[in-house]
Amino acid sequence: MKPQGRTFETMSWPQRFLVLAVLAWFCLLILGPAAALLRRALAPGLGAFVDALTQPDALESLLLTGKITLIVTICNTIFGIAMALVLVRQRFWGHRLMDAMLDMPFAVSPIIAGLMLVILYGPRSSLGGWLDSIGIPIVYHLPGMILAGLFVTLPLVVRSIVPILEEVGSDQEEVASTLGAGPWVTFCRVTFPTIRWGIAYGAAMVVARCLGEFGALLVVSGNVIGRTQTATLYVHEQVESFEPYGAFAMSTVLAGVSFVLLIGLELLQNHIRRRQFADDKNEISIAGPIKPTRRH
Amino acid sequence: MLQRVGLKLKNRILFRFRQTIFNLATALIIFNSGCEPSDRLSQSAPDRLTLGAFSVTREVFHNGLIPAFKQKWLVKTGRKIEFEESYLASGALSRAINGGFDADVALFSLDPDVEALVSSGLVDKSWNAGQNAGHVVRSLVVIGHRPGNPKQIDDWSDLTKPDVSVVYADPKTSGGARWNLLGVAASGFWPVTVKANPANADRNTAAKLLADVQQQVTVMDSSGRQSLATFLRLTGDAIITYENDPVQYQRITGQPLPYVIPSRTIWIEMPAVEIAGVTKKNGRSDIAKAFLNFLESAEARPIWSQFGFRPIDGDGNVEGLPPVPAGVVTIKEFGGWKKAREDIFGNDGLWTRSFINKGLAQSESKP
Amino acid sequence: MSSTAANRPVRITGLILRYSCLLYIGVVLIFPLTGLVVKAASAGPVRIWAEISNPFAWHAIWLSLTTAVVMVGISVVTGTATAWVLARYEFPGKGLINALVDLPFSVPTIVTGLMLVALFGPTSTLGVVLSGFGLNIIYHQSGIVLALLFVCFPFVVRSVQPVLENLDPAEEEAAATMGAGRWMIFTRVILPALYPAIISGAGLAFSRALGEFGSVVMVAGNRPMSTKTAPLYIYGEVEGFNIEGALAISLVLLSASLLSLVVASRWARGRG
Repeated sequence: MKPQGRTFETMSWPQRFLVLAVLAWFCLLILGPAAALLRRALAPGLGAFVDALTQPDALESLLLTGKITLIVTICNTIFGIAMALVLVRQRFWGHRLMDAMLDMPFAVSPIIAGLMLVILYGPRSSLGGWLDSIGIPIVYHLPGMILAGLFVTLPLVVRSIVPILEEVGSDQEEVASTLGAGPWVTFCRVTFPTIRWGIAYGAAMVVARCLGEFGALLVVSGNVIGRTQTATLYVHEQVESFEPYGAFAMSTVLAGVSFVLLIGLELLQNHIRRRQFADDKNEISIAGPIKPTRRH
Repeated sequence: MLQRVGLKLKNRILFRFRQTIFNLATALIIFNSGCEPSDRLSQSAPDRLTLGAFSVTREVFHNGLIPAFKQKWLVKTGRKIEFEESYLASGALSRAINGGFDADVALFSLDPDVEALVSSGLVDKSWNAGQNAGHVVRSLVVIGHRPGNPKQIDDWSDLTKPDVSVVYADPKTSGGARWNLLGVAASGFWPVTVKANPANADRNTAAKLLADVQQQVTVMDSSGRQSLATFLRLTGDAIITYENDPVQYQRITGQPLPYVIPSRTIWIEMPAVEIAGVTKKNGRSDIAKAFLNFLESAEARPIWSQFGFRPIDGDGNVEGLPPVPAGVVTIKEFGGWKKAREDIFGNDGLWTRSFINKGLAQSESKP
Repeated sequence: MSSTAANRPVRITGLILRYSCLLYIGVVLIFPLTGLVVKAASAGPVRIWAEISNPFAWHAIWLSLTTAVVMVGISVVTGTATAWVLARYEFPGKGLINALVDLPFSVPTIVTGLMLVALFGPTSTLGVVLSGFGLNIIYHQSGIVLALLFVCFPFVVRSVQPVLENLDPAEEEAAATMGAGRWMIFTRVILPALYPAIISGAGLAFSRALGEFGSVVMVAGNRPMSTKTAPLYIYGEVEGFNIEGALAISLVLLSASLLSLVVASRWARGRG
């Protein structure tokens, strides 16, 4: 495909204009605010930056965010793979409803998401009251915050695997199972290798979204310093305080982790792609699905 | 070739699988340790108290009152005490406690937030039976302005000038903003020369003043603190806020944030209560009561006033803060919270009506 | 394509997988949603209507819808252009931009708001210049659109980009050899192939925009009947102990989001 590799020198004027216009828009909208954040966070020097982050409250909140993110990512990755397989490979009553429902978390305002967790699992509700009485408090404790994280990130892994599964079809899986491979072996040998980059990308998105979640956590957490205050809630509190520097430092860390994760994933993918498919004539997308169409 | 790749893959998957299991196990361990504070098991555990307070009191508690109380508790009982602190908007705090947040003691910015807890049985009905009706401290509604007062803001009427932009919080989400607007309303209701009472309130003047001030508003943040942060980012010429906010700001940052006390304004009276529904279960009632007593004690008074709060009894004058003007009213002159809410913020309230009238005017002028 | 797989009898492992997934979705998603709807409905239609027809609520809903529509309009054009440039051209810094596209997902939204105010606010250099041209952004309705543009930037780009990258160049080449101009190739060959992706991206962006809270609360100014969007209104009602009001508006917002998603997916499927 010729146009894909076109460099700036070989472009026509309208093409250059388009590229420059997109770059300008991108700088104004995304790069500008990001650079402003970085400048504010690093302006007083690296020492102050580290100081702000090693405040006990800041550390506790980072640790809590880490905990929530870890658990949410594991759960939603495992179930994301399962849900994608069910969605693509099975047809059953309620299938389309499930498909539509999976996008709901994108549609639900985080504030509403928090509100409904409080209504269902809050200690004054019947379900929440019962759970509380057997020693599993949900809302205003860690489990509620994990539920909020699970809710807002539910579609991410599914939605990054489904297109790949649909694209590759089930031929290879069927061949494997005709040859006597069990479902687990088929999954490990055939399905998993084709979707692993989709999984990695989806999981990275879960991590990023989870680190930055605010609205839902604001409602379900109670914001107890050192107990249910996550990094974003810490940011919120710092923004309201007289010295908002801590907010900038913490936000830089949160955005930085997500950024490093996403760009690292892309670099790794590029690297592997170059090594494995060096002689492949097929075009392979960078962030999108990799088509394993080669057969030896 | 294919087999080798398959084998490698299998190993890798197995490795990943083991890793996942390992991660899960670590997660569970962290999870459990997060749920049960391990020091609960040890014998010499320190006393604990969970404090919920509305957001502008963060500095005075965190930097002033809590360290002082810890010291006092150690001297008095020989035991250490540890605090868990949560600072939320007053309404959010009340809702969180109602929803199961287990604060032992809570400080709100206004009475209705306590009443909500009384009706759900978490707070004792007799919470306001004491001498000061459950209030521990108070402050005044004031107008903050830029250094040098370039727009010459001295009283409420100056906020209606066309070139003045005003900042205050949204009274829907911020209890503080409700007090602030009551301050404006008080000035409309009763000229300074009149002795205020519910019967002689001038509703028309108040409605006009509220609408004219609202007309100049640029931003209504969700909390009083957020509003001050916006003002400090150089938005607006004037901010309607609690007196303690500019005082705390100047104390902590050393930057100037001048303010004026309008000739007619209102006492912000803040209630502090023990959440009996919580302390009954965890047996911290004695500590909670001791802390509440401490908040009203003579020892706490200088700490409060250093951070810009005024004592609940007497004429409210303290060293280091400007004198209290004669025209200060309380919520009583409005006929109590229920009536004030209805009169100003209800669906037919003076402040609410100002938007509907303005909205109609706008939609008529637009095609 | 997958219909052969679908018609195959499902094995026991498949059934276990299916029901564990459904249970998971139930606990995380369906139960809380149903709880919300039931609780809202229990207030009764009269009360719900009274809450929705309140002029403040009505204005908030209307504002959310219009700002979201404007944002989606801009985002579709710029997002497609960005995806196009990323998929078709090579230029220095492309890798960086490609990675930065997802940044809005990962910056806490409250910080997004803070940064936008710092950059475009009435006292910033850019803000002063813009207001010299009569363009007031922050604390006006255009500020809401700006915040939404930032937050929803990745949606259209990320749904169009893979399609563009996997597009078969043969069709374009065939059209070119038949003498079609560049614009014609774009509108007749490429755009029809992109339609489903653009629409599903736009649907996602729209529904996300309806619910956006953290960044809008800082940028909008939050004035009733002027710059208060529906999520801000809901938050206000929750804080003001009017749960019924919050739930009623939540229902409207939820239905609008859901409708936009369903319409987008139907439309996309119909075209694709």
